Amino acid sequence: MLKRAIKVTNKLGLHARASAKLTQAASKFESAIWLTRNGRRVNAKSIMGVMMLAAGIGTTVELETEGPDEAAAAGEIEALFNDKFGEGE
Amino acid sequence: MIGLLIVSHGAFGESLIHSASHVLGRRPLYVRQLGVTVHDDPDAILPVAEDLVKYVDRGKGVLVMTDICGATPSNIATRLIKPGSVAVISGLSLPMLIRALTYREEATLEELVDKAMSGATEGVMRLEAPC
Repeated sequence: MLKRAIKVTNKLGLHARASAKLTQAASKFESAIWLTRNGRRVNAKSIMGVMMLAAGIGTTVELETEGPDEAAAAGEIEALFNDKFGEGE
Repeated sequence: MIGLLIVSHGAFGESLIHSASHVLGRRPLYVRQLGVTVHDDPDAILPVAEDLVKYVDRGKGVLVMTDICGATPSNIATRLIKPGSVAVISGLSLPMLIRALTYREEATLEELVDKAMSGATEGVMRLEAPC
């Protein structure tokens, strides 16, 4: 299992469209993928779960991946956060 | 894939489809809505609803979602029920629609009924101030 902390840096945080992008990316992987914030742990393949984190800009979420493609999954999801979900700000 | 039909008041269904498309980044296929107004005669509009069910049905069944149980749209929707192939649920909301769109590819009709209903229920919560 891989764990890493990721900072939310896009202006709108994990809002609806960003959550949709994240769950679409996560769903491509066989590994189980979880996000945790403030003690709430959700399935990163569930759009409603991810939105319920209500993670705004500046917050930190913990990413956990476990399975045969856990490294690739963690890398791609972290890259999405770092790319500000393609939103430019 | 399970077809989705919204039967609701006025422009509510179309607005919800717009909102869900915005969230998901695409307009989903085999989702249609029928907006019922005070001028519509339920008997006259029923064939239109049946036609839409036929259109969205890809062979795996159709989930019909309506807003308020007991209102005219829901009374039209319940006349579409066919056990095993067309199911109807009320309490239509954006969480319900997004949940249905998320699971319609792999779920059976019965599973999708449960998913959509739990999605709508879980969408109701008291929110905390941002921290």
